[in-house]
Amino acid sequence: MFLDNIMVLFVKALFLTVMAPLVAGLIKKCKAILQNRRGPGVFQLYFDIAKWLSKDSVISPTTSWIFKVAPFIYFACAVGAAGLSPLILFTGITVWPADLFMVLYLFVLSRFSLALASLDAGSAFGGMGGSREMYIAALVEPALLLTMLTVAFKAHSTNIMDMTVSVAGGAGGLSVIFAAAAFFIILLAETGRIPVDNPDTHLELTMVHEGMILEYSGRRLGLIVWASAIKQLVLIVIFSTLFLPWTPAIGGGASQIAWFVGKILLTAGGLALSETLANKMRLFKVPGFLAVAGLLALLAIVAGVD
Amino acid sequence: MEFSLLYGLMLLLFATGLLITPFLGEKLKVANVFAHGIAILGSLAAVLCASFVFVNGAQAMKLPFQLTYMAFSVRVDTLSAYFLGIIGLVAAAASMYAIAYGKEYFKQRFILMAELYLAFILSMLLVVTVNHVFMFLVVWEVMSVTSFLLVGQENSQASTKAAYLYLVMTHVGTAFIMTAFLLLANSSGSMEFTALRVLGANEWTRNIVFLCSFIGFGMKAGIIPLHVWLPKAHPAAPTHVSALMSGVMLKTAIYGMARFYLEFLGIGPAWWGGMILLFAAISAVLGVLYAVVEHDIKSLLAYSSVENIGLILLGVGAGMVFMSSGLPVLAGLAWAAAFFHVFNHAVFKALLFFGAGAVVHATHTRDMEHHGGLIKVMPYTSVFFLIGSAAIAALPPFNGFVSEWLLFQSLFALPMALGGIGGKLVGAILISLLGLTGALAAACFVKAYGIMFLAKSRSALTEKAVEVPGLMLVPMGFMALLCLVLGVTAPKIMVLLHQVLVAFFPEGAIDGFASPQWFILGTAAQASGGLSLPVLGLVFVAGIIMAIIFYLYKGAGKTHVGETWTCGIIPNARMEYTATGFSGPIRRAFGKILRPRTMTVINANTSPYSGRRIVYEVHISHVVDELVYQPLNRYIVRLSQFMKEIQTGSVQLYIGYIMAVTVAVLIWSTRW
Amino acid sequence: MQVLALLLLLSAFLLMRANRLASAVHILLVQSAIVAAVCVMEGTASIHMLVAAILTIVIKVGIIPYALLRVVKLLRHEREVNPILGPNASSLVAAATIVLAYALIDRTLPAVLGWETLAVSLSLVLIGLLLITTRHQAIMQIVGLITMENGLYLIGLSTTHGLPLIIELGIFFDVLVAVSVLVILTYRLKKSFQSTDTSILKKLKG
Repeated sequence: MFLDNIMVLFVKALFLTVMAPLVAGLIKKCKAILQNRRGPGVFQLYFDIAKWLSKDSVISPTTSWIFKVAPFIYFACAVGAAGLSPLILFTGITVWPADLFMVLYLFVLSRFSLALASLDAGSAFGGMGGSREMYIAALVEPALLLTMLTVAFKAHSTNIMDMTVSVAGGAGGLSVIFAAAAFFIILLAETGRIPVDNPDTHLELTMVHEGMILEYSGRRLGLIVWASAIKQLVLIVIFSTLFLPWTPAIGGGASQIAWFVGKILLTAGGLALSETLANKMRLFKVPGFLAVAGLLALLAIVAGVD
Repeated sequence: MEFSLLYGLMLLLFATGLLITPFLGEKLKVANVFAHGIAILGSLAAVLCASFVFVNGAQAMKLPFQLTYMAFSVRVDTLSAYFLGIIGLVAAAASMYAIAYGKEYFKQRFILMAELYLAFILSMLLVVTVNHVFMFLVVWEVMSVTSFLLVGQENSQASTKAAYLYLVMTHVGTAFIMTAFLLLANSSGSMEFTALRVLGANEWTRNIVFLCSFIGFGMKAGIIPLHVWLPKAHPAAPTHVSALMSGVMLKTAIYGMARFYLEFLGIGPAWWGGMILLFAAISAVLGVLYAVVEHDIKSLLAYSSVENIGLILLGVGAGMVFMSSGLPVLAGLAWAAAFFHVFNHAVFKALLFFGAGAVVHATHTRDMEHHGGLIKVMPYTSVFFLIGSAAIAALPPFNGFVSEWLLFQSLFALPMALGGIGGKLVGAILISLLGLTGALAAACFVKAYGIMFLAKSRSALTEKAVEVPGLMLVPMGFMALLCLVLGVTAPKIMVLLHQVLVAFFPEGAIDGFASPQWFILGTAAQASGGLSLPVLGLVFVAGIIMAIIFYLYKGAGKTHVGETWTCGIIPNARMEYTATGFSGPIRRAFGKILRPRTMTVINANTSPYSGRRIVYEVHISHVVDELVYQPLNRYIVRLSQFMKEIQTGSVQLYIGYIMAVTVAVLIWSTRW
Repeated sequence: MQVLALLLLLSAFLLMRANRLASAVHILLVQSAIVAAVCVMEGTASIHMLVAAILTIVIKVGIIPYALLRVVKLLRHEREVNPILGPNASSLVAAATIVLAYALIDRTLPAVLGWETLAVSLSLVLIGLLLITTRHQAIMQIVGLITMENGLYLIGLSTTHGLPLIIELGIFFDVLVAVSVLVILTYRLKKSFQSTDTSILKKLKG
């Protein structure tokens, strides 16, 4: 019983780890098409990561062991979150000690380690990236929790499996739409996308995540990029499982897999579309943007009372 | 083994220390080792007492000498033992730390300081064990006064001012506590704790007792808006004392609240818990906000204590709400969360203060803007401080994560007690505030650690820093280990907490967490399991292994050394982000609360094109100060002005007052 | 008896009007002697009243005036009292005080034997207070204190026909100590400020 659970855990972690660069590539491709460009192929990120993982690295003499260790922790957190994430395909298991807060705090841990690493090299870029990352995190966290609560209150539990089961196959009401909108905003902020951050820039006025990892190169950079892709996929999975509850039933049948893949693709497309349509926002406008998410979540809680 | 023997041993040790230390006046080194050594032994005796109680159940004893109103009776139940054990554990570590740290104070009144230190620890140990109202008030006062004198030790103007502020505040608090106790004693007709109950008393008395105890103990705990003394007094004391004050002295207030709300007052109306929740949430959020923008490391830690007291009280408040709505199972969970966090905060706050003290010891400055790069010269301290930071930021797998999870769960269940949309909204808002607090705490400690220990040294002070002696490292290491152990063995701690709480709940109500599975910390609400650190550890380790495999897939590769990229110029320490800069966005986003005032002074004598000197300062204004204390202050000053008019200093006038009163009394006595 | 009481009142009146320190002390001396006489009259040959009378004479007629006069002699340039209220105003206030005292006693204890003595003693207490409040010189304040003390002593005497001896001894000792302390302080005041004007003491206030 217990061993089965552990196996499922590892399978999920491995599966999402392998698929993550593909989803990231898909988003990029969608974006390119929407912007009338050809763009790189959907598998480009695999090649990039493979390249980075075979390169030597340049490390500043200012740095300490924190800088060297941080990418591993960052990667492990992403993989851990992937293992604990809600995949509707594996719901036959009864005992499932995967709590929502375990996933959220793995994200906090990953952010903590990367922000420390960003300060380690002593450059102003790193410090700025770290500072802004922690600032945005402080704003995202309450909104994210509120949004998650819309589902957790329905399930009367913060256990991810309970939450998944409670929403699966449900009808979409007003509450679900509000909650989905709220989480989509948070998805934009957490995956470092326009309008909160810009994943494609190295301009010091705009970058947040890129600023933090500016000093990294070679194998460690590969790990970080990969981990970011995994984290993004985990968030997309959470979004499509918990906030897009239109699924025929629970289980791992063919139709469920088709629905699941469809929802992932839909979310990826949505991300690409919103990034094409939106402008980068001033850093101090972000609180207002996330407040909208928090407000929507509160509305969802109010609307979701049964 | 007899309990009274153990307890007596503890008292005897401290008495020996207090009596003999003054006679070692000339030999400071001997006095240092002796006094602090005794403190270690005494504290360990306290830990033994506590474990004895956990094994054999509650113990009571009376000392042979008794005065009419001062019955020295001791009763250690598991609640007392829990706090006794925490105090003993932290005090033992602090005393060991003090042996090395105390040397800095040889030039000052060292013997006095050692004496006060011993008395301070002893009074804390007594506060949580005595069983009599008067005795409690006396040792509570001794605790306040000794800590006041220790705060004043540093001999600087700021510390003296802080000490007096502390003295005034703590006495106001004591007055409230005294009122609460006397009302209780009056309605129950006894001064013994075991007999104090107000079940028969009317609603008004109960409410007044509640309010008085909340204000009184809240003053000591440092909840906002009664916190103003805390961030000034705690940093001013010598570091090992700061660690004790922040780590355990605040917890004596929690102990007092627990006694009142679990035992003396019984189940109260829901607004009691609601009020505590409100102030707890304010304390948590404001406390951490002030901590984020602080750049004096010890003040930062002090503000973070305000935050953590807020977190503990969130648990207490939720517990009381559950009790009043007849949900003892959830109440037990909430109280357990609060008590767990009491232990955790004691451990990691002591650790962080030790680390901060080590840094101050090495660099002679508390201002983070002068630190930097210490990880290279203080390798051990930096590891321990990192563990403390991770624990206080509630990162898995450390202890802070577990207690914060329990808090989340307690708040998550609030809608069950309150019901309806309102209940859900209250629960949701409190949880999101808790999330905000957690995220800000993470930002705060990223800043503290990153600015102090990482990158390059920012001043000449830090360049000469060296690692502190082993006597300071061992307690830090022990506390760091404890952070990890308390996190990983959380289900075991829950068994302990069950023992602490079981007497205050209906039969069998909280047995849910008495016999957990070894790897899952669950709540009744969760059908398929709760928090499991082993599972978390498993996936995390799997992730690490995967990362290492990918890293080594094409061999380890070469690492080249290259300067940090600063657009092509050679980087120096002045290009690094500062603590003020790091917290800048947060300061601005929460500007409505923090109201930062920036001041830029440009030195006009320097050339505008090169080498211009600009001084940039940020001041944070404290909302509570402005809204509560400054008006209060103005009122008191105006009152004093009026008193000054009356008090001219003229002897004749004073006697004139006497005469006027005499005549008035005479006339009154004739019933005119 | 009534004559003595009236004499006491007169002495108090004169004290209010006294404008030289030395004469004030002399009036005090006479006042204390009258109190001693009252003591003997009241006691009618009881030994302990006799002891009290002798103590009064030794301490209040002998030692205290002697000490005060010595200090007055030292204060060569301060013979004049320097009242807040002038002699006439003081007399008026004193008269009002006496009326008040009589009225109070009349209201509360009209039928008690020797209520006149009681009224006189209350007047003495109040006039003593008045002296202290309306005079600047330290010596005059001591004089006021002794007057008050005399009044209090008389109250005790007239209501109880003699307090227990041990208490009276205590009171005398108390007065003696108080006056010695005050004399010493006056002397220190003179040395520090070249004056015994107590309004200087305002400077001590923060």
